Amino acid sequence: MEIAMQTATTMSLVQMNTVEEPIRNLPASMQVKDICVTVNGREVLKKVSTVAQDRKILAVIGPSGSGKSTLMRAMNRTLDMIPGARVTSGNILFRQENLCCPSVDQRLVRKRIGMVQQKPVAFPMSIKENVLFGVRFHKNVSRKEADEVVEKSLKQSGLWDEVKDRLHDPASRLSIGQLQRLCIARTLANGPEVLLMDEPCSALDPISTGKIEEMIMTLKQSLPVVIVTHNLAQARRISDFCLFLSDGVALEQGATEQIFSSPKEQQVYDFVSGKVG
Amino acid sequence: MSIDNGQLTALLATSQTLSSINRGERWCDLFFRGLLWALGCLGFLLPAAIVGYLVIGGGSTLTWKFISDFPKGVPLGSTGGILPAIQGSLSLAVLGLCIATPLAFGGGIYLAEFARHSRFSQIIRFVIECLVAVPSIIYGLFGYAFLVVFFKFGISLLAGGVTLAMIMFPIMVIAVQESLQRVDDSYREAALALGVTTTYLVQRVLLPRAWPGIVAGMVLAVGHAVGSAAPVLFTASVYFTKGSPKLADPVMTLPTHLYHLVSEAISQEQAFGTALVLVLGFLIFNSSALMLRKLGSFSWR
Repeated sequence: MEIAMQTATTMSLVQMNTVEEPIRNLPASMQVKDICVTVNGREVLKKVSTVAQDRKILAVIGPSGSGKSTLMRAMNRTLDMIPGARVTSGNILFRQENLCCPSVDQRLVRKRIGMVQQKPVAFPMSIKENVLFGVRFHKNVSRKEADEVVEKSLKQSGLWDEVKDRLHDPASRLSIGQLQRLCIARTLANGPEVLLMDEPCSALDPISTGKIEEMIMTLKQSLPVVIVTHNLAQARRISDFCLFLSDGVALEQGATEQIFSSPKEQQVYDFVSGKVG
Repeated sequence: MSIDNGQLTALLATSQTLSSINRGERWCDLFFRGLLWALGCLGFLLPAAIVGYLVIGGGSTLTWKFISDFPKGVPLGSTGGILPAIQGSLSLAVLGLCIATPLAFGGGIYLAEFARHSRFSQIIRFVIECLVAVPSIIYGLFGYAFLVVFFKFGISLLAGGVTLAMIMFPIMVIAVQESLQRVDDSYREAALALGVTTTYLVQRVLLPRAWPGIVAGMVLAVGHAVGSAAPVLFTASVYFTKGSPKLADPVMTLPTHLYHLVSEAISQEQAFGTALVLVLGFLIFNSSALMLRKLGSFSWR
């Protein structure tokens, strides 16, 4: 019975194009339920549960090596790329579908759950083609559609004004702050329904960071955002909810203000008050 | 921050010991630099000396007539030109490249991207490394037994081209694989996170990034294959041909022509001229490959 239900729900992901509209009407919150991940037999995530609510920002904080990136990777199936890593139990529900299910097409998951990495990377092509990289793979776009997607995504990531006159320049000529916004535009051009960001500002200067934060605040009006950050001030500034991971365990989570002002766990208190880390 | 006298004396003392340590280190560094400079010069002088010697010996032979005429004289080759040898070597190089390139790209891409970290890929890699180390005369013998005799290709351009392709293949596979593997993993992560396939990633990101390394490997492979006489000696080359090269017919090649001229003491000057043409040919080939390298990678980096 349960297997039958699972196949039924995964079907919709497989045939997404035909049933897309009714699914899109469901709230886009993402639910992580008791997920356990092992990498070469070592437990990296231990029964982590959390929710990325629609139109809210969830910040994932915690010491290095606590499994923050692994959680992000599990959420859009980029975990499959790491040799030896697998989800041993638990599931991730998004629009009533279990993303961890092996029969779900991982490429479709990655397209719908967009991810921005820590290190911005310029593909060896023009700025415009960088933005269209995923789009061109997923569907045939006409010249006009392509131009529209490029303009829209670059405007969303706040880079349009800086590059609109040199869209055909190689992307490698951008500064690192611009490059990270290009990477965000590249992810947004794919039309994601959730945005995951893994320390997107760790390589950037405060001004670029400010621009990206501003952009995240705009983006959250249309989709859920999950951001991993080591910058506690940033987490406090932008997020609505906070998840504190420690050694693969979700030690504490809740509204950001509550986590920062009156955490229940001593370790969380030490961390957010700056006593450790 | 203020420093009192005691601290200052202590600081000076440490800086003095530091500089006395540095003195020994500095001499060592100077000596090492000098040694490396001399060895670096050797790397320049050796090829320069070879080319210089060839120019002195064959410079006067090298005329337009020499590269555009057929061998003449008695014994044949003592006067005249080396046109058929140039044509033969060129067509062998092109044929070998045409056969080896697609195969090597396929093999290299498979090993680097589709069979990453697998036991199978390690075994193949080991075998290919062994292939590179096989002397070219062995390829020549194999080409003769397998292509010329068994497949009845006869001594021909085709048999020689396939033999040269066999020499180029392992070098090029390794070049493709290594160049792809050197591309930082962050490119793979960023691309695959957008939900694209490995094929798309290879086509649009990895190959353009790896292009300079691949071209360098191809140049090495062609130079190695076309420059050696052994593989074509039994499979493709004859003493003299007339007319332009044809697939089923034997050809003359520069290295074997050089070999004949010297071993049968036909003409020292003609031999020097031939060697000079061979060397200059590679110089032109390498520099055009360098340009191709720049062209392929554009200014993306």
